[in-house]
Amino acid sequence: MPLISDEFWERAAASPLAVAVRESIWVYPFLETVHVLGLALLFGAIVAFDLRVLGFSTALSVSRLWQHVKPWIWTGFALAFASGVLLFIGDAADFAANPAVQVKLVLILLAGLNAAVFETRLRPSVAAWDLDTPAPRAARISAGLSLALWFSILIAGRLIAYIK
Amino acid sequence: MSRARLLLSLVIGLALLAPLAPGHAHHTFVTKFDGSKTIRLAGVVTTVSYSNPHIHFQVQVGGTTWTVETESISAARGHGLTQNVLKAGAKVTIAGWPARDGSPALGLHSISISGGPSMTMRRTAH
Repeated sequence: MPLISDEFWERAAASPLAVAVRESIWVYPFLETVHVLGLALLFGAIVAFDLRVLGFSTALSVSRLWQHVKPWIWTGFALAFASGVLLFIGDAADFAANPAVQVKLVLILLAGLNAAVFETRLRPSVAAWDLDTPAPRAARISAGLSLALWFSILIAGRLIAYIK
Repeated sequence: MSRARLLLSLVIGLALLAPLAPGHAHHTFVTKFDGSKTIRLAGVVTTVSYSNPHIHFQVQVGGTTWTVETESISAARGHGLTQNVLKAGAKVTIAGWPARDGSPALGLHSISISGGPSMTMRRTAH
């Protein structure tokens, strides 16, 4: 029993917004472009931070690097999320049934949970490992998990067009 | 640190291997349609979904309804396949590549519209 009925997705795909996404000449390529731009910001900033926590470039302050990447992570996420929702609505019934979409959404949820754990449990102690010190093992595991999850999210996203 | 490097190498290694996964290709088209076979059909257009990312339309050929896939809206317009030309009721002759799964589906190579233009949409299936 799916969480949301096929009928709901079919109605969403028939909505004026969905029709505009599909049937305007440049809306779809525009949204695809915004999605890639958002991913580039989000993923680039996340990779830079996770590599630092994993133990690369320990001469960089973790807390200062975090201040630098945080707004770009959120900007990228907002762009990718908004464009992703609109692209999804354009063909909601097919996307909802696509295994690559389902896997991707679960992975995004896991990446969010991992980030929340890092934010609430691990980053508060950052003063102790801010400079020239290896991060605690739990923080390194979280950073490695984050990299693996976001790599997988990119791959799942790209595979949407090739799987049904 | 060695553990971190190991983990990182693993992640990068998997990412590099991903393109080798079955079903992956440069374009959906070649995974759906068999570029080694070409077929030609004549029939009447019944429905048109003039949509991104790919336009689809159906062609009635005898008792069979073929589903035909072609380019995006902007690419199709560039070839001259506008909504004024590709519409229900149009008599068409189409050539293209059949679906790999054996269903009555065709990746469009070229289309000739009775009393209208003829155009080549794509030269190869890959």
